[in-house]
Amino acid sequence: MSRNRRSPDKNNNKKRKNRRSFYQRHKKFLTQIEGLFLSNTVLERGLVVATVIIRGNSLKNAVGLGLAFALLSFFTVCVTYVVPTTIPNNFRAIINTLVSAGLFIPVAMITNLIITDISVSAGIFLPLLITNSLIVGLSSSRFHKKRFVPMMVDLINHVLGFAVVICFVGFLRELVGRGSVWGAVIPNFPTIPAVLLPFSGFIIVGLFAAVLKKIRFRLAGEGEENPENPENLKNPEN
Amino acid sequence: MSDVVITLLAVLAVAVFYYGPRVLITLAVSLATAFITEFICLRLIGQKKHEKYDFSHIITALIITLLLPPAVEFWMPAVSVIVALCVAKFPFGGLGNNIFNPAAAGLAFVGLCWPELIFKYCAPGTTLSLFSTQIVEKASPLDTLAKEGTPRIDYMDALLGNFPGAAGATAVMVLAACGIYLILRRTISIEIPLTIFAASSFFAVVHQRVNTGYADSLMYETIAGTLIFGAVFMANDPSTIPHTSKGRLIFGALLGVFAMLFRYFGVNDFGFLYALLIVNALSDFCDRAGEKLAKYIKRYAERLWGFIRRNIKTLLLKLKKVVGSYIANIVRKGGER
Repeated sequence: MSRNRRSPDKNNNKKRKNRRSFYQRHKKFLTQIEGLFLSNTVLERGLVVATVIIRGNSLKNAVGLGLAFALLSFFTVCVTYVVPTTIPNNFRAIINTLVSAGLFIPVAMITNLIITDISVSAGIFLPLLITNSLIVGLSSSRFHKKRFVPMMVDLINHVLGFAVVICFVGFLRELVGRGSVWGAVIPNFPTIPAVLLPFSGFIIVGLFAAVLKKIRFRLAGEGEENPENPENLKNPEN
Repeated sequence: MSDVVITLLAVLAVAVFYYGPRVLITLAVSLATAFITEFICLRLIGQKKHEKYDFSHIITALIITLLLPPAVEFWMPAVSVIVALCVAKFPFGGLGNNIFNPAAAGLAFVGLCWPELIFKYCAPGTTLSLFSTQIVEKASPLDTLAKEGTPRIDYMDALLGNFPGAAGATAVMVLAACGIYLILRRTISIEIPLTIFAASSFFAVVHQRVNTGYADSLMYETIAGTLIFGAVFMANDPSTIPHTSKGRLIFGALLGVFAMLFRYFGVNDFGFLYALLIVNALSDFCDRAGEKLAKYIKRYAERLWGFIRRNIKTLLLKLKKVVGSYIANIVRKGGER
């Protein structure tokens, strides 16, 4: 790919070879916070999409779900760090889910204190968070392979990434669909009610995912340092 | 594609004849939106030159104009066209790659958003004022059927499209002529319209919603809503239908069944479009199912034929015995009397 893009001018060619792209210069930092943006939980990995699509239609719901997800995932993955890795993956997933189920009641109570009636308005999607993919899948394949402090940083980034996406989608859908922000109605605001329905959630999340993909391609710059290449993401020293 | 544009212009002429020049203004709005959106979206996906004989956005604009009611507000077709092109066409890769019919997606979105503004029909022949939406509302046949009433339409009026409905979806005779023209020109295949009408007729005969007999039920269910228009112009979008003819047969049958179910359990005039969007997603499945079904049918037909050929003598003898005893029985009974 890099060969095709090179211009015939030799000086220019040398300059280009020496100039490093934005991604290359800030590679270490970007890999540390990739859960927040570049490999976002919802937009890039496609995990926990159902919650965003169906219940991410108002800002209150979104903040409540984001908070519950953050508390639940963070504490569960931190607690289950002590489970020895010699146990097979399948059993560890069950243990993780059991721990998160135990943690659900305090988390739901805290969330209910902060945002009233979230357990009613979010419905089944609040308890469903105990089996989210961060806890079941990614914990053993990604988080538990790291040391404790880097794992916590990575986990916080992932959790914040989800919260940011669901809050943004919820804000947008509430504004366009109901003409209100946090329940306060804006007078004479033109609304499109179908945005509140799940199919619009699919469209909006899909469009954001496409934008993120475009940004990833842009950041990639040229050649082999492409962040789309999974090997580059996994081994930062490479 | 040019054939479709020509036939749609014929339908447009009928709409202008019934509802006056207001339809042309709606068309102008949707066409302008379509051209601008197409231009911007082509730039965004990195294609700088427009293909030479690409009328797909014109077709989308025409279909949207003809399926909206004649006295619609002018921003409605614009929104519909924008949704059609920006959500259903270009994110999937533009011309030839779209999974869903763009016009159906745009209209379905508008129908879900503002149903109280859209499904307002007036009697044909009323002179509409050019820039106001004030009309005397008349119930469309589908609306009457949903409220368990019987629409009163003459056969001749039904053929000419002289009843309240969408701007271009009522003129049955013109639509049928367009369909026959398109089939003869091989722009569309005959399988899909045929199976759609077969499935919808089956439903209309089995489950009647009017009390005046089979024929009336069949007629009203066929002319109501957007069934004929959709079957001719929308269900045959080449990139959204199965590639094999067996697949197309299943596609059409499924579409007819879903359209009728949407009619029975829904309240919306756009039931056919929702059904079309569902079946569009199943077009790949239709291809596979068609091949499998054909294989099974062939296998069992071969087995049956082999069984008959092997045992033809014994079968004939048995038949003779049965028939002979039956006749003898009848003769004996007659004698006794």
